[in-house]
Amino acid sequence: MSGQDLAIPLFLAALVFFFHGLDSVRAGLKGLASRSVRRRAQTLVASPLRTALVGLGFGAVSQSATAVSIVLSGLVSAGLIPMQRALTMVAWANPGTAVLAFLAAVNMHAATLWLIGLVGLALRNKRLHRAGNTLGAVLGIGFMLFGLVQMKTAAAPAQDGATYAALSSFLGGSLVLAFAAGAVLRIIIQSSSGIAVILIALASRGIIDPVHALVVLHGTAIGIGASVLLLGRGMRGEALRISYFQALVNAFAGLVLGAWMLIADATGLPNLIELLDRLQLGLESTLATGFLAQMLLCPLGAVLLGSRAESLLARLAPESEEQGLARLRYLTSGAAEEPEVALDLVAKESQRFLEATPALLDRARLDAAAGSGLDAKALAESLTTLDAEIDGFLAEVLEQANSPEMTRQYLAASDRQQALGELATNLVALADAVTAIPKDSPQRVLGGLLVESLDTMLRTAIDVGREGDPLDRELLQQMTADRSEQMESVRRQAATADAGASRAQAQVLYATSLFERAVYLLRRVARASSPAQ
Amino acid sequence: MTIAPASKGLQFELVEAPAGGVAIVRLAGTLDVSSQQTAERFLADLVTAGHTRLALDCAELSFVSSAGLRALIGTVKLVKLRSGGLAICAPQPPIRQLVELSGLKSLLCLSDTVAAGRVALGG
Repeated sequence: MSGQDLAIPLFLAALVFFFHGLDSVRAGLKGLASRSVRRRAQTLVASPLRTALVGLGFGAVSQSATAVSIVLSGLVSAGLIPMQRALTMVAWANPGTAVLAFLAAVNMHAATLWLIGLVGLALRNKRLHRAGNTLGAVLGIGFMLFGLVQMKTAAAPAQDGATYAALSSFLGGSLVLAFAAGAVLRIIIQSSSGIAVILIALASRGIIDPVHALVVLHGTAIGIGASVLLLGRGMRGEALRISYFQALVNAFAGLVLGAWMLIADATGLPNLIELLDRLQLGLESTLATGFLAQMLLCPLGAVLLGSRAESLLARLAPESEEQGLARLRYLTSGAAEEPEVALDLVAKESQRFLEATPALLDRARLDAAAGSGLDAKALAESLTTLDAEIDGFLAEVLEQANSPEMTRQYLAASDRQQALGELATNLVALADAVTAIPKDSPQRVLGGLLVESLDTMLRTAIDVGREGDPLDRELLQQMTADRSEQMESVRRQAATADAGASRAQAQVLYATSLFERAVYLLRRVARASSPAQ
Repeated sequence: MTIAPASKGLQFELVEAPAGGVAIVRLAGTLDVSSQQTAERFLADLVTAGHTRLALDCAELSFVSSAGLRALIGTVKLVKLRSGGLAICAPQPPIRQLVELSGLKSLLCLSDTVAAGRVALGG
């Protein structure tokens, strides 16, 4: 097979190495994002300059402003860094991603092979297990660079190929078409720096001229906004706001530079490539610098937006009640420093969690008018996030407990929160099971009664948490007594009743098991919060 | 007899209220989130007027939800503070089952008839 026959498969394989490496880097960074690491992130944003530098570094390492956005949305929702700092970091992460474009301009072949070889072997050493996340991220960088090198090799024999001549002709046509192609490519490939290295590889082999390559890059900036609109439905709260911000600053950069290139083409004025050519950097470095210039316009866009950014983003992505639930209200960043006070704050945050749980049953209620109006799926996700935040806080404070009594109290609080988290999951499953029973079947009534009685118990538990009335406490104890015999009797009756649809029978039997578990978990919650604890 | 203003879906009727004895209240309709507050107020007024032993005739009560159950629990707490009691009499099967599933059988003193409820309350 000739080099030309292997060009396409080699290019595709190189793309896989590149994106697999990118995924490894992101996964490695995610593994490093424990609560303690995130708390240290607070010190990194002490000043705007430090924030910008951290953003630059973060972008350079992750090679993805999107990945940076996702991590930062978690920090903002946990109250660890303010939104304004997060936006600054995201803006500066963009120029950080241009590092890869410069690496694409350099012959990294030997260095890449050494990197993969040494890090890959280090990963097999069990003694280095603890550094697994970091080594994994570094190996990911190695794969990315390897992919880059192979892309350039794949593009080498392509100059004379008919297929690539057609590609060159297409991309070498109108600048407007090139701009649009960039936007579409970004939606498909989801990585501006990835597209940059591909274009640099193609341009270095003369498959596309540098002006069109740069205009395609400018188009990718618009593609970011299109991606957010197309894929943003699953995002909420801070993640969506930061994504919109990323789209806005990139759109600014892409439109300014894209307009410049079009005006220059129409009027004969010097375009960005011609200006950069005067620096005599070489074709690949010129394109990388053009990409860097585009990315540097992102922080400029952020500066122009200024303090209006937060209010604009709040209007574009208003926070729903469910999203607000995911945010810690009492466990602020300084709360962990005072273990004595923190316990009370944990109790308040857990109470807040408990107060949201009845809404998880809304869709299965017989009393339809009693619903809270909250979206069950969004609520469940928010409670999962809140549960993880409370758990993480407790683990952190437990390390600082300075007496056996305090340790015992924190362990009790941890047990309570664990039971609450499991209860929330259980309630979702119960609502699912009951709503799956056909509405006109007698089993649906039994399912509904299970839900109504559990709602009563939850609200009694909420009253206990709010007021601590001994009568309510006694009542809750009575309500959450062991139900195994009762449920066995209910199951026997349900099984011997009019058979009807076996599916409805199976669903209601499953619902009784979930009910029994929910009552047990609520009993655990009540026990962990009783004064004797 | 005293007929309380009807709430949408729920009607009350104070059938008898002997001084120092067991007051009988007939409920009809549905006791749910829309009638919870009215029911709580009506029953609380009876308790503060001195009727601390209440037998609720639920033969014509077709549905009770969690909100309705909480109204009844609130009333039980009031009467217990005054050494009184509350009995749920002649409940329809779904209401009986709801009370049992909620673990409130002994608290709400389920009785098959009004007469049995009166006896259970010491009347």
